[in-house]
Amino acid sequence: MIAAEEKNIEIANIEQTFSKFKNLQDKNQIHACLFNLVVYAVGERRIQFLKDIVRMIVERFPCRIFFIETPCSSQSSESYLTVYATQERISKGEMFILCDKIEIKSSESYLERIPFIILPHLIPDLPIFLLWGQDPTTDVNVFPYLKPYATRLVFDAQSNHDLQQFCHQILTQKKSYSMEVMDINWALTSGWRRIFAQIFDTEPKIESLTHAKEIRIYYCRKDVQWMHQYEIQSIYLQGWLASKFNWTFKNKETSEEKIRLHYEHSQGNVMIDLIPQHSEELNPGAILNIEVHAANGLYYHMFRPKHASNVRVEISSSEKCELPCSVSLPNLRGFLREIFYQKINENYFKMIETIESIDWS
Amino acid sequence: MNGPNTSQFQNPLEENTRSSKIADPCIVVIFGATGDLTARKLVPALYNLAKEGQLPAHFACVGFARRSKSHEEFRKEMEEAVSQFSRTKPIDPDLWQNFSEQLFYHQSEFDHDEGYDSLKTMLKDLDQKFGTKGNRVFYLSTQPSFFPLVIEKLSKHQLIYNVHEVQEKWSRVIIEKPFGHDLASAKSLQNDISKHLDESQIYRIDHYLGKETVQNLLVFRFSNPIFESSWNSHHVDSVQITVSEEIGIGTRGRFWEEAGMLRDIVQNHMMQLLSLTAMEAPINLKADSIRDEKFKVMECIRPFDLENLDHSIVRGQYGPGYINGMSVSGYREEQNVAPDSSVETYVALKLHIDNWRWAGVPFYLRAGKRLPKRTTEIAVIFKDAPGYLFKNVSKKIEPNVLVIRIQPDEGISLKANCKIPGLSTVFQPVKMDFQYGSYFGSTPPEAYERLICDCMSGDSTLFARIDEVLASWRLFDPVIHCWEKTKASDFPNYAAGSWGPKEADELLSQDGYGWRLI
Repeated sequence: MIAAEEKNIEIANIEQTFSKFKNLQDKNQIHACLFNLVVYAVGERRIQFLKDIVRMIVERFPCRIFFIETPCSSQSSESYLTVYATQERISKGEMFILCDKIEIKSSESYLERIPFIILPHLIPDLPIFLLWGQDPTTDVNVFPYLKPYATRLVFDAQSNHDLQQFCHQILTQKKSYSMEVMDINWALTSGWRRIFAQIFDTEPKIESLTHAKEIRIYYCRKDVQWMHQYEIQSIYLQGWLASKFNWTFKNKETSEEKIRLHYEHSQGNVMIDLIPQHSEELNPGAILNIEVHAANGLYYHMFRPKHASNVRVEISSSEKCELPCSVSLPNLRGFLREIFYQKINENYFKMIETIESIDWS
Repeated sequence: MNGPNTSQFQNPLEENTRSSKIADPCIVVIFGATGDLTARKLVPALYNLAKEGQLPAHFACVGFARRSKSHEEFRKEMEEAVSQFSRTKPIDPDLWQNFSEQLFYHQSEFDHDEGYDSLKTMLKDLDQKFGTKGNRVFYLSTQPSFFPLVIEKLSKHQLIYNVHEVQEKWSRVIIEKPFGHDLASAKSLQNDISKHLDESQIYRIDHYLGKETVQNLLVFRFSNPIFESSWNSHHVDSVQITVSEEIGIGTRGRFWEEAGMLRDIVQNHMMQLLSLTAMEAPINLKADSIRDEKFKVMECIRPFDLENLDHSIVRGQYGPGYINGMSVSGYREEQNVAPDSSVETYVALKLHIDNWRWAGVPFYLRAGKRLPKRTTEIAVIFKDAPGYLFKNVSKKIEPNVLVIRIQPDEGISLKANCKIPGLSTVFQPVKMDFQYGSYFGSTPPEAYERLICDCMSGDSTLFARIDEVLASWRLFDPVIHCWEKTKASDFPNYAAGSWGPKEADELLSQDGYGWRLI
């Protein structure tokens, strides 16, 4: 909810405007800021998606937000640069937390000015997180100027229509990033990766997974404007498994019903299916269920009953069934902590290396 | 608290505390009264002192300048100036009415003896009318080249008194910076003025010293043992001092072409900030005790290695860029600036203070025009926690940073680390922030108010002593001469609106450091 807003303000008056807002604060309102969050959104589709993410962030981690909106190059040829100063208000019981937000709407012709608008208003001594809705590897106007100051770059593979090219760029530019990086889709798979680690928690179980025969990953396919690659999280998860167990990619088959990947390991082949399914309750791209046919004949069925936030795991063989168990997926706060505070490790880059070799088009 | 040469009478009704000092009756004569400084700073400062009750009841002010105008015209102009530039608005009509009746104007050329004779007569009359007892403050708000002339004339016409001969009244001279433009000229100027003035009569103004947070530095350091005990090389990793301005040189091209950033800001303001940050505790609060300690800091600064100057000091000049979203031109396109000018608008340097307290701690200083924002701050960056207890935690632990913000948003902040609530140990830096405006409900007095008040009270603590000034020139003189000999081939080397040239970043990165983002 917006506590205060001024539109089309003079850039030189940004801090004055926030001071004015501060003077209007009620006693039960606290102004808070844990970090600077710079969000770059290109195109109408991504703008709304990122606004929703920012809303989720601010409700849990108050911060100063710089929200940059710019149209896709194919859209409007009009030149404009406008700045809004807003104070977001988050309810915490009887108290309200207030966060400052600077919205910059710019046409392509003014993009080069944006870093110079942002720089003076970053809160010193606090982390600076960049949430990039655009492919950072190809951005020349804004990202290169903010890069030296950023604590962490959070990006989204959705920003590039070509996943293979995206992976290639990430690997090429990995060394040039002085800040930490975090891929949203990698963070979104963290819960499932943790589930795998919890379920396959002994050497024999790991052995059986290493030489699995078949894996099926069901993901949510629910058409939305801002997404065009619904299978990315699934691709990441299977890529993670492949990189962990050094599976060698053989080939890929694509049909309307699924994407089928064949890998080879020391005891034969593993076939991985990525299967879209519709779900009203879950976000598009979210992993719904996973089935694993392990080498030792055990069948693992990991599913979300009624698409809940916990995953039920059923393990069975032709002779017996084990008692099912439930494992929780991280909630939204956990996801955001992963995004902003967990270090991305080499597993991510190894996974990217694995999937980079595959043409996903 | 009054300086030497004041009346021996101690008024029993006076409260002997610094915060409520009452200046002696006096007349302030401002040379160069039609200039910018008088309108923007000096008269508004006097007005606010009157408003705060800090101006002596027996007081008058005379503007001395070359242009012809009447008292009324001068008062009118000053009323407009105060309305525009005073920190307190709107102007109080009753207060102004009383105050303006104490404002006068005297026209003369600086080198006309008749002008000084008539000034002397005028001041005698004002003494009679206002009871100012012959006490004088002469504020030289003129080009530095006029200082020796004006002082010589004042002495010649007995407008300034010999401290050894005249005890019942006093005279003081406030000199604006720059005090010389290099070591030789500073010495020469000192030689010229010391023929007529005792050091105790000379008040070299550095308005940074008048700022509330700068004064608070001494209080903060020496009344809070919790901070002072770690204010040394055992606990401090590095210190960064920044004076950043978003404005360019404006219409001061001619001045700037002669001065440059090193002379205008670094040699004086920044050295004052540095010495206050690094000094030892004085033995008492007397002016000379404090200035003694500041001078010691200056004497301990390691001279620059002229063979490897680039490793210690970097200069820059702004090119075109963007400030507040607006396109701005580069320095060389400014008015009255040579198109191939090599004058610096940015300086970054590394200093070492070779004493027991600071051995091994680098002091990084930077000053620049057309940087992203206007900020002056001192940042003390502490060493990392030893042992690295949390080395298996995902994030690097941020060092503690104590920041003293001189302007704007005067205040002090301390950056510390906290654990984010939850089951895992994840760190988040947080800031404990104290802002003058929020805590004390009003903006602090302007620097010139404090300084003029101190001069009228005879307190020279916040004014630069000659030994400090010369020590600073000794440090920078070789750099100035080196730069004058070598034109900068890469100018302009930073865009307006950015944080300076990349060479400034390399100055720190060679030591494994980086400039704080402010």
